[in-house]
Amino acid sequence: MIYEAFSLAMRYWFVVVIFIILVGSVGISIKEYTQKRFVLGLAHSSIGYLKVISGPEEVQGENIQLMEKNTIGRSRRVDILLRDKSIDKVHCLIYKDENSDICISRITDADITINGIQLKDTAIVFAGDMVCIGNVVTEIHIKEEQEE
Amino acid sequence: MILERRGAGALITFTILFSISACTLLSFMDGGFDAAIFAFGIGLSLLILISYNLIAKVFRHIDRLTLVLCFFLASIGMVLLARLNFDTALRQALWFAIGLLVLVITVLVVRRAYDFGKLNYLFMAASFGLLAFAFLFADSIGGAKNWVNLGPISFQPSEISKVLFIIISAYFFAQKRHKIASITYALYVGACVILLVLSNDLGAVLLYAGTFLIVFFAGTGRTLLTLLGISVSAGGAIASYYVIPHVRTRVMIWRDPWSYYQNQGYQIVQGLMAIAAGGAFGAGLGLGYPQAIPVNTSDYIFAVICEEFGIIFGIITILLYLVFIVRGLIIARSATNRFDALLVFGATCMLSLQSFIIIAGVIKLIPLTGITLPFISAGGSSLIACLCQVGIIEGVAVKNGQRDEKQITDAGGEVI
Repeated sequence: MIYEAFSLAMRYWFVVVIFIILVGSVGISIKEYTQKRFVLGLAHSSIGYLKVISGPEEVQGENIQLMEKNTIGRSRRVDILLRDKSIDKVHCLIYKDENSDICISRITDADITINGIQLKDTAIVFAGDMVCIGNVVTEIHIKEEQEE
Repeated sequence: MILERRGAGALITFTILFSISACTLLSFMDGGFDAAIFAFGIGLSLLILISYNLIAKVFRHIDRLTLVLCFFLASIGMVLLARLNFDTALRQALWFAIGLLVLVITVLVVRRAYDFGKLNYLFMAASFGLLAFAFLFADSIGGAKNWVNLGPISFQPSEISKVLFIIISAYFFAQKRHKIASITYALYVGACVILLVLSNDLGAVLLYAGTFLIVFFAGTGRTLLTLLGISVSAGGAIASYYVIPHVRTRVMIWRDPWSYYQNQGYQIVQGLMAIAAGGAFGAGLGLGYPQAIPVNTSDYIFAVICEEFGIIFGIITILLYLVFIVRGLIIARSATNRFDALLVFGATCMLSLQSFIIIAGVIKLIPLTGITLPFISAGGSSLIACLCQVGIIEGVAVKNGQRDEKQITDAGGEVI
């Protein structure tokens, strides 16, 4: 009698468990699929990234994705926001040119050095170059297909 | 840019809760406390917990959700087997543990291999040899010659052969087609089907033929030829009705099992009555009469699921198979090369066809064939073959994951 009662009661528990597994599986599948599409889409359109070696706390140690054209500065209008007093409102531009080279251009009197050498106007950068944007020290990483 | 893979851990927790709660309930089924069943439940839960975590840790990019679904379906099977026959449940758990090793080895092989190249001809010979061995030496059980007894162990050669069939089919459809290779492959498929027909293993015939046609269409895109293949298969099925008495009997019983209730129709009728008796939520675990259903641990385990756990549980089980299949197809679509895509597609198709054929047979949608319900039915050969197919799917998932992670990390992102 007692077993019967428990068994009849637990029928609903077993249905609940399998329902949770079904709903969980479908939900996780949809979430994973949409997230993967978004992330892989971003990764595909990315040309590389800037690894922040030293700089504002909020970006220290972070990898900042680089798209085909990226404005960097202190203002909210830019693509990559770096909150540091040594950085101008619109400091520089990192972009892929018509020869598929990754270039960095100074905007106005912005202070930029590449491997310790002051940037005068525009220069091509390569993987591993240390780029100092104001007081923010970054290392540039370029996607392999871009380097080819 | 972070790709998070979360959630599967919660589902494995529910799988373990299901196993423990079901086995704890069953341990009180006969009045007293059966420590063996309780220990079985704990042991099964530990096996699932440890193996899931180990596999997920060793293979970072494994498709965890596919693994969870596979574990949950296997735990449903083992709980029901513990209810029906404890010795069978113990054997199934042992085969499950062995099958997990096979899964890991398969993942390792598929992850590293390309398409096995000329080895496929050896696989062809082995596959044909296994089916020929079954035809010549297998015992006839239920009219079909598909079980080979080797002392204490008996196995189904067609189960091992079908895994090789998937690999061979993927190889031949992935390459540029040379005439001799195409003819060799066509002869191999024809020979396999003929051997299976001669062995009266009609479920396997449906499985091999169905998988071949689907993979053929996926590999070649030739609609007309596929339709021709379907027509030929249908013609073969109709011809077999007139030529093979076993087929005629099966169709006759399927059309009106009630008229043959006292003999050949007994199994189908008992199965249908069991499904109806269960109702929406089931009779209760341990409260049904599954012992009235012949072959209740293998072919008719779906009827036992519906009787004890209910029709809602049965429908959700079918939906879980569907989710499993969809995930397999997504993995196939994301594969890095044609061979991997067709390999996963073939494995997924075979598992889906197998599930459909047996469930449809149990609910009298199609004539019954003697094949097992993947992961759930008792049977070491079947369970190992299914886990091997999961290993194939997971091996390609790992390759896909490694490629995706490289793309994401090259762009400065992270996969956690």
